[in-house]
Amino acid sequence: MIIQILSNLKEEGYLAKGRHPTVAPFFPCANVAFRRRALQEIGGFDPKCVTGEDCDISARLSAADWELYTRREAIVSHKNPSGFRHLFSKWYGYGRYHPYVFAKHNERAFEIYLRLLRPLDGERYICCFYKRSPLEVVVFLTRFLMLHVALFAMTVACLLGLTGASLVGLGLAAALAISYAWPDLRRWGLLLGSAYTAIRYVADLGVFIGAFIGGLQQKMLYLSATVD
Amino acid sequence: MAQGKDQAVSRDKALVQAAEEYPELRDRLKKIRSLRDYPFSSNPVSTEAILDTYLCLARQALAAKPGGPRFRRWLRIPALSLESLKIFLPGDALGKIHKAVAALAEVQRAVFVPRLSFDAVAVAGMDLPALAGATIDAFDLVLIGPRLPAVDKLRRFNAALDCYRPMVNPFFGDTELAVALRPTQGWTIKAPDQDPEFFACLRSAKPLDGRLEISGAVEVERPFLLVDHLEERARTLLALFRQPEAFRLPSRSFLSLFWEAGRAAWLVAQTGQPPIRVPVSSEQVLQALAALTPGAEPILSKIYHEYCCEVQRQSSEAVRYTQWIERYALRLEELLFPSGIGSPELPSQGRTELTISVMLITRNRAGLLRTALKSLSEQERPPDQVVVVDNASSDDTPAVVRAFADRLNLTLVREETIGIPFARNTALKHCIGDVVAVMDDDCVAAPQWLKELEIPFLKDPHIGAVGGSIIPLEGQRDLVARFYASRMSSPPGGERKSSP
Repeated sequence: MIIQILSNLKEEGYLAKGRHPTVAPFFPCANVAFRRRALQEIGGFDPKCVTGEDCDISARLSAADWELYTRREAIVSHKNPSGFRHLFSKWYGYGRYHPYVFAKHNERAFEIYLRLLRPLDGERYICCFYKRSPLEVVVFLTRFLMLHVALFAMTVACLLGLTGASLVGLGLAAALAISYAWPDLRRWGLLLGSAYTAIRYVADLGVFIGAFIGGLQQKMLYLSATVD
Repeated sequence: MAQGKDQAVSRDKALVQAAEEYPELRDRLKKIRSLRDYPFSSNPVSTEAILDTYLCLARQALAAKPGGPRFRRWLRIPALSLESLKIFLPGDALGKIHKAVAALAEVQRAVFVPRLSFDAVAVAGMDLPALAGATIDAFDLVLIGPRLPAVDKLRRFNAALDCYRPMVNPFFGDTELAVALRPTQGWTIKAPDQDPEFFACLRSAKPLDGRLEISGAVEVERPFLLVDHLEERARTLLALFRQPEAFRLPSRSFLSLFWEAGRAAWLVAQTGQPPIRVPVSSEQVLQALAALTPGAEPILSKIYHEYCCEVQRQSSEAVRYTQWIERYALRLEELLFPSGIGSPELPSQGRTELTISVMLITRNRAGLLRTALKSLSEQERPPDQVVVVDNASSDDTPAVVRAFADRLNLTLVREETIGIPFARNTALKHCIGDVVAVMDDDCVAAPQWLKELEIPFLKDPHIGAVGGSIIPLEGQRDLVARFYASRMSSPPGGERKSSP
């Protein structure tokens, strides 16, 4: 699931209504208020959404024609997770239920999205054979995923003894690794930037593993799901 | 000349129609159209030809016969009070306008006339921004003199009055030109016989200050080309309060719309006993509505007070009355056009706030929960209820919660099924407020949190959820926490961080 971010909800006003929770902005449940009538009308929270319930409820409220409104001045300070263990388990938990929310809200039969240039809302994924055949595949083209595909290709080529192909794979993987780390490196310098990249990698890994397992439960191949 | 058969006719079309109706003016009209076709041409365009032609058209229209007697209504317009002008004109504004008028030697009279436009709704349709505040508490300042002042003087005058637009809108011309110019301001060319009250107001003006005058009470007979024109107008305006778009208007426009709808409703309510009294300012509408719905006066007066604050750009609590206004408009609609469904209950006297329940889910985090509850007990707008769901904790969570029982209206529930959605649904069952605010147990709410969250709900009944900003808690030293913080404070449109 590609999820719109807190820091992007800085504009005061009505949220654009998105059709898919994968791209629709939503309010995290750490700081949100609902009209009770609206919540009761849509039947409360979905017990199957252990995480991502906020995303699910925003999408359902939109679908029921309620407006969503951002009020920046309503501020809540949040205690961040500390330590890699906590971080990993948190992101694993997020990833675990992404496929469920995705499957719940994306009723489209067969659709392929491939947006190479990331638009502002962060939609960039491939969705194959979804809801049509037994083989259901959702691939989010994140840098994290592409990096690992390149690494995998390099390993395979190396094992098969294809030196040229494995060198190409190595170059590709290196380029992708740099591009993965680049935003942090550019902003925070070499030391802090690489530390942050490592943290981001752990979070991505958590989501990836969680989403993969969650995807199998939904009978789909669900690969990677954070915005990089 | 479009005589109101087709209210929404464009000016171009009206010119073509006029040319058919008055063949003797065909050449002049053709010239006007050619001038209008090149609005951005660099050649100076003489306005005289246009004014001259409109004047001719107005005279022709005056000579033409208006509709039959059964389409005419007697209107009584009360005198405009100086107070209604002062609502939106700051203290020194009248003096400034007076000075600006004095600088125009050619002007003999400058008359404040209420902007009564009975066609505004029909013409503007559902275009809310155009509608809101279109005619109530708005004035035309009609400048009358033997000839038009020089262009640069007019420009200076316009600049001086710019800050009072759109509430005060000046027109220029000699007595007849004033008649002629009036139609050019709207979307349609209106015949003067469609706006008789405008000309009647000009005649009955009382002196105010120097050359400034203000329109007095008048009685006019007005043709209504559609027999049920008034009813249609009231229906349209009252129905707007069922449209989500209306609630997106700024408070001031929303209130103006309310006064406008109230006036329309009042006009319909008294059609049985001519003459129809037409309120021209919001204060007069307030009195009319108080007479129409006894018992509503106290809240109407409060709304009027907030409206005045809003117009004068003082801090206003007008947004608190949105819900009341919505229900009141529906009630007026039911009163005038009974549908049999029954009018909605008005919120009880003076109750203009929503009740808020705060929902807190916690599991084995007694320490964090204490700070969260403490922040809730320090809210500027205290919560009406705090529902804490203890999701099968094994620590001293219940004791921590109970310690706050004297400061918060607490409901402590225990949910044995572990899982956020179960706990949230259990909490929802115990919430009694109109609004359910959701916060995590590892969060600390800013003192204005609930106050700020409440405002959008008051403003628009169609809002189902309001989200606020989440910032990192201060003083977190851990590297992972610092990473989070760095991502949360990234500039909008820049980097992003995902978080459910």
